[in-house]
Amino acid sequence: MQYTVMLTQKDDGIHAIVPGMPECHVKSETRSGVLSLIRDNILQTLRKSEIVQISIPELPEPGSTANSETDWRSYGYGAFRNDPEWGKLFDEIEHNRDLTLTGRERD
Amino acid sequence: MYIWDSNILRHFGEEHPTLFLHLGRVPPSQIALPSVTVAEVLRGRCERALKAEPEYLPFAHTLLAETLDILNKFRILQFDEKCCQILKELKRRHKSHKRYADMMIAATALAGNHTVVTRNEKHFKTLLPKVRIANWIDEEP
Repeated sequence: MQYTVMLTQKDDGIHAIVPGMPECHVKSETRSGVLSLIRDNILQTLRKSEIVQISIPELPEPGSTANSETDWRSYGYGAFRNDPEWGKLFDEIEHNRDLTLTGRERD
Repeated sequence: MYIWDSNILRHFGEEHPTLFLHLGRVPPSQIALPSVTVAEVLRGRCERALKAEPEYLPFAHTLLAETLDILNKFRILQFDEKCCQILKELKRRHKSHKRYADMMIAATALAGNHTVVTRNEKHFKTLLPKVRIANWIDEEP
């Protein structure tokens, strides 16, 4: 298996990194030294690692109407946005649920 | 099938944007209202239609009619004998006080292997397996 290694001369020596493997980063005074170190580093990293492929569902394009097949407004989506009673009605539902508990009536 | 707790119907009527994202991924045929939710919403509308001050009565009856119309567009899962047996079992298992309507909705879900869509996950987490609870308001798809 061939790996691409990028060597960079810096003030404190030669740095080696492997694109796509951020854990692999070594430095040495000499070119041969840094190549030897990075080889060991890649091997050690591979021993501890597993490469898996996962699939991610495609996101809809921005602005696309994924809902266009269903006209949810015809089902009432947003139908009560201007109805001040609508929210109160559901507050009461929650309140009534809090009052109607199991274990209080005779089983 | 996804069955809606009452609070989801609230946000549906209020045009909640996150709910709309979920609706883009689920066809209407996969969504139903438990008859418990229907009963709760109708009770609220009926109370007003029967008790409102005279000048408010026409509006209250218009809202009742509009609500009936919208509820009828959804498939309604009736609380049946199977739900009843499961509810009794849930009551036996949970000795601590539970909200009765939550338990009825949980029984409806268990009877048909449905998922409860709710914003009140904490009230269902002891009644249903985690995979059978979904929050379409606070969690994006």
